[in-house]
Amino acid sequence: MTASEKFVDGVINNRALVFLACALLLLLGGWSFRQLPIEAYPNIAPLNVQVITQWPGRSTLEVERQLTVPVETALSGVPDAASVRSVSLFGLSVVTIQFRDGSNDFQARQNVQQYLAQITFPTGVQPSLSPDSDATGEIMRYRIASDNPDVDLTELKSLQDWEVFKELKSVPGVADVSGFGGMVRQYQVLPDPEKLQRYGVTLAQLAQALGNGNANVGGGLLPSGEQQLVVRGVGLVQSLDDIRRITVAGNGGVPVRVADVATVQLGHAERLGQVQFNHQDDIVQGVVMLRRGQNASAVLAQVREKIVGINASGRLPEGVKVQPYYDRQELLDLTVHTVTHTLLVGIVLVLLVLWVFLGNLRVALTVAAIIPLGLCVSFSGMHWLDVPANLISLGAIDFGLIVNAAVIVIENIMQHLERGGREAGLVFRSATAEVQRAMIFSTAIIIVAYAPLFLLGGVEGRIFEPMAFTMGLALLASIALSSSFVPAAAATLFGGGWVVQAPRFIEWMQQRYRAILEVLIRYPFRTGLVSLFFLGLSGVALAGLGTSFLPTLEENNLWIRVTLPNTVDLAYSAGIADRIRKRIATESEVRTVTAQIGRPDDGTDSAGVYNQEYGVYFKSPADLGHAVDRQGVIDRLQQYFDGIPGIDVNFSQYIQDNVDEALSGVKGENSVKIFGDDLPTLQAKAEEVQAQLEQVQGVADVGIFKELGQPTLNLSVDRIAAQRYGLNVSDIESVVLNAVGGNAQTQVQEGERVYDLFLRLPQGPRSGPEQIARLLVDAPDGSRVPVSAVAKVEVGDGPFFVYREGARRYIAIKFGVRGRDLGGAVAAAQARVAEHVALPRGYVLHWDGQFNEMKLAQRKLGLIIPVALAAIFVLLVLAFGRVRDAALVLINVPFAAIGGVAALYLAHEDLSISAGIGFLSLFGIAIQNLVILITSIRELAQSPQWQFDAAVVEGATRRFRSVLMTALLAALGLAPAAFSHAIGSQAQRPLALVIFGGMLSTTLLTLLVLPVAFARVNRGRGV
Amino acid sequence: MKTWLYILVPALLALAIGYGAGRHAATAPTNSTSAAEKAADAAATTPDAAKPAQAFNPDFVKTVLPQSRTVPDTIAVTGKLALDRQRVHIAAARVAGRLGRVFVFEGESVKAGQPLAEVYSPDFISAENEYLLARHFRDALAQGGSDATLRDDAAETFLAATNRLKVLGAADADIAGLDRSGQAEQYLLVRAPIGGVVMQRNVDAGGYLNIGDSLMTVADTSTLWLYFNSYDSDYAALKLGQPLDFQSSSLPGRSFSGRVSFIAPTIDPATHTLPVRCDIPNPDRLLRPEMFVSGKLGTGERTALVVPRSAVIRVRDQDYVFVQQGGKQYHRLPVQGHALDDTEYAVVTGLDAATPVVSEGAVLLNQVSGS
Repeated sequence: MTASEKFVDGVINNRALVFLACALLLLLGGWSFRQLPIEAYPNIAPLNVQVITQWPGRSTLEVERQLTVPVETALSGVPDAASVRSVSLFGLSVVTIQFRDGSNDFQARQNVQQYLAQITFPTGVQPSLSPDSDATGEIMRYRIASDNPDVDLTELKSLQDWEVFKELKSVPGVADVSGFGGMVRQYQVLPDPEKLQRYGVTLAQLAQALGNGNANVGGGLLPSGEQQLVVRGVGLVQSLDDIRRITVAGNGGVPVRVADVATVQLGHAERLGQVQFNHQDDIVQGVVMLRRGQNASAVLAQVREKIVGINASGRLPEGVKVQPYYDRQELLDLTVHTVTHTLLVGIVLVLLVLWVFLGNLRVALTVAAIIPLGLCVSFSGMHWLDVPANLISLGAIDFGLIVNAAVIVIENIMQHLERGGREAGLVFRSATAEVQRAMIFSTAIIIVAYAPLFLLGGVEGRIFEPMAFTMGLALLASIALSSSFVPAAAATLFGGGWVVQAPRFIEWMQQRYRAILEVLIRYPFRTGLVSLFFLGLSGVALAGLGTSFLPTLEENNLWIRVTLPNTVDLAYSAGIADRIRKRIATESEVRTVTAQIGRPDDGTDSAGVYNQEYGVYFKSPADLGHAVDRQGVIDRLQQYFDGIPGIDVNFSQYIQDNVDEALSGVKGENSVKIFGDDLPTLQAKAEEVQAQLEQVQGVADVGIFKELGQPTLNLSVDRIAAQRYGLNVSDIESVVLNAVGGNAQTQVQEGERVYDLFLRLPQGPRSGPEQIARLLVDAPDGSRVPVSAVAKVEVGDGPFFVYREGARRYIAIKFGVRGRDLGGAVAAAQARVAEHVALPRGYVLHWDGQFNEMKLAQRKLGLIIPVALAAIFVLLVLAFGRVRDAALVLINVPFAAIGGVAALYLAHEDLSISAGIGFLSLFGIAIQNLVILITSIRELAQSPQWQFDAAVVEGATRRFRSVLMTALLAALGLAPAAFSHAIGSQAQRPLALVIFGGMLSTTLLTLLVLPVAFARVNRGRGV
Repeated sequence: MKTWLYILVPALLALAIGYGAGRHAATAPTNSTSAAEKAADAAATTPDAAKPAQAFNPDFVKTVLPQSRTVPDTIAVTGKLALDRQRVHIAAARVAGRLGRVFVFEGESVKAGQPLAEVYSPDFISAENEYLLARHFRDALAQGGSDATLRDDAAETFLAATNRLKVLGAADADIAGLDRSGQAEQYLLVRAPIGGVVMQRNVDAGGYLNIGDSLMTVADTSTLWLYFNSYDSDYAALKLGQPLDFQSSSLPGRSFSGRVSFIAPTIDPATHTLPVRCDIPNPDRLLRPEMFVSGKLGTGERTALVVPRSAVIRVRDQDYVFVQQGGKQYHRLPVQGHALDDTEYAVVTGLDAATPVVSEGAVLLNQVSGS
């Protein structure tokens, strides 16, 4: 008795133990699955930490020089940092540190904090870190809805900032709650220049008085008999009237109060953005961000509960409530529903095939039981190793593949039983042992085929690692279960000495097959030629396939980014958004449309008011009765946008947009970056590149991320003139700061809420360059000098943005690819730009974005695949014991791809990474079948009673059912996924198509071509 | 070994041939389309020409004809009202004496000739007595039919006495009163030299006045002066007689006007500005000296084409407008002019009255042709 026979004997004798172990496994797997966080979209963006520093009112260059560069310099040595990028713009500096794969987010943030502490910032400037959330972390959007006319936007914003924010942020798992829209309340002091002059009060005096007139102090303790009193000086301003009564100066015994020289009012801070919602043109919105690594569903449930609590608590005024309008759970439910649906249908189909081919429902159920058992091993393993499940990884599970090992074993058992003649117990043992070696080797080969996925690393690695885990563990489990559970179950089922009869149609098919094979084996060259012809044909199809990186996951929404010319102001931008929003709302599929203009107050998005983002949320397919025709909506809207000159439009989806942005560092899909120091030169070169890109076929939406063109009013101090008046630069600058820009002098506290007390000239005296030139500067001798006398006031051209990466400035030109494959279009564009654009010395050009990731992935695959092939070859040699057969199997593998390529071609799918993984599985199955077949043939050929050719035919025929079944199972297991177009199916489809189509060619290859080739190669050389 | 080479080599060959053929088929039409695109691009990028008009949504691109209007050139000024120094008079003592009653006080309006105060002055009393004596002497001689020479001397003396009274400040009415009463008045009435407002009173009742001491200042506020300081950039545009319209925050809603009457010959060393003065008629006496006012000085006027402010795009230091030509094309034209207010802009040169101007969406069109 061989070792494997002994093992099988042991299993059969202790089957109760085996069944108990299986039951425990089921429990463990079920528990693990409940704990497993499910993500819709795998988080493919690497770990980012952003340092956000706001410095209101400062120009881009000022921000770059005084905030961005010091931060970049300080952070350049942070451990594990892969890259440091930054953008500086008006009043905001954002430095993004991207960390290497596998960095710990907590540690990374700690390090950044520590390195930041070394920097001395200008007074009043405080950096903050971006929320500890990733690109897919925006899990809910809500608005503060009000039908109470007494509650204005400023109040709504205050409610968001001081009530709702606190409540939602306290939910465990929420990283941050970011407010957008509305206006921040501000106490404003607007001095009248004439009155200042009349009362002889300077701006500086007024500013100082405001600060001095608002303070509480502590006076320690005052003993009072046996008690003590706490002494407290109360001088905080409580109301507008308190501010009005602050004394600025004594003018001969008559106090000059703030009210005498200024208007004091409640206003709002200068707006950086605005949010519009359906028919409302100004709302307050909030975004709930998920903490990294948390379970979105669990957190969302708590957030929803909290919102119900807030609405019911009465903390919000009458008629005001928090109203979510985007909830990630909806998408999760939709996609999970789709995936569950396709998986269930797959299981049913698998069961059906098993039943039909084995002719026995109980046996079919036994084999099908491998699926849940295998998955339980996967889930437990994933839970153990902290690998999150996502819809790509779950959707890619091929049940056919998991049951293959069991099918091979049970089919052999059935065959032996069908042939009958021997004692049942012996049959189980010998039948299992007979195929065990081939089964273990062939399944191991499939696992090896999946191995590249573990080694990919980077973005692809993050996407497919969970999938590789799921499949790898399930396959390992299937090996173990096929050698233990299957024979044990078979022994239990057939222990009663059943008479097993193969279904009639199988026998009939086997006879046909045998006849065909007998003919073919005589014409090896013609057979070879036919298969070569099909291989050539698939080569033609392959060339016609596009390549893309990742299939797009349907999110049931549209995220439209409209970029207006940079110089527009908020009111104009909002007016445009109003019209566009109303147009979008006319589309019948649209449930909600929001428009975000500019940036939120917390600086988490670095954009100006020219940047508009439309969130278009479709009705759910269930409400609509049909799937949303996304392309139709895009086409109609594109047509509308074409009527608006000078704008730039980019269509994406909500999560996709965030992920793309995190990947590329520039908003948009793919980009060319030119690095250099001089902004005008960069701009000129970018325009050249843009002109070239527009000539490339398939390249669309080309746009420069313009840096220059910000009209800037420069007040350059004329030092000599200033000297004449005895003025210092700071005297003049303080006019720019206090009068033109305005400055928060102190804070007013309203209970827990804190608002700025702002000093700024009213609109009139600072309405234009001419007016500003006439503002008076207070000279030390009491005279007043107009700004124009001591400074040159001129309108110039400054930068909107300065983008930097690796401590160098760059300009980016983004582009999209439409109607052509990504790789081809980019290659053509690169060639064209290299030929036509000459860069000055010190300037470097760099291509970035999704395409880059794809190229990297392709390069890695180019290395990993040969290694995997070599490993498979070694395994094959081990299995067969000789090189000849191993080589034969490997050479046959490309033929298996024919059907996969054809399926992709017919379905107009791109050759994406997802499809590539389909091919990996396909090759695995093909090799598995080839190994089983050759093993069977060689066993027969070795016995003297068979003639060589007859042995080949007989060996192939014996494995006919097994091969057909494994192929059908693998194909049908994914058939629902291959043909589904529902939300959530997009990620699986290419993979499913490849396997489905490939199975057809693989089966033909295995059954018809391989035996012929085997016979031709081995004839007369001994086996 | 050789046998499986027979399979491998043709397999690779077939794959390569197929792939090559497929590539060729896929790229062949590419070249022709890109050539067509190039042609289309070339057509679209003719200098400063944007897309055809029909392609644009009228919601976003609107045109309007410029209005031809006379627009003033103005300089914004802030200034302070002051008394018209030509209309300020001092009621001074022409005779030394002690101040008796004072009839009017600061701020009171007085008419010309209205008594302001009375002065007890021995000189005046003696002058009165001299006058009465001279009159008596003249009258006596005239009755006596004496020598003509003597009569003439008496008349001369009387005239001299009358003049002396006038020089001392007596008004005709005072002399007439003296004539009537024949009694010397104890007090000389100091009368208002002009009609106006008493600005200042320097001496209280009982005080002693020497000759030439200022008793009161009376100012006529029916005309005021307005001073403003002009900065060096505006010197060249200033001329006498230029109109000024102004408002005061003390009199909201009212507007006043005046003309430049004086431009200082020297720069004010304290502020390094050029003081300019305007005469401001103030018939209603609403304006008060020392009021701060702000206004606009009209330095000229010209005919200009007025377009909405939104039609003008500023790129660096140059203003542009977009015009629609031939109904299909938009062109960007550089223009010179200035903003009239928040909504209108006056184009002085660079535009033609018959050409429709893009009044909305110019910033969008600029994006198309700007780069």
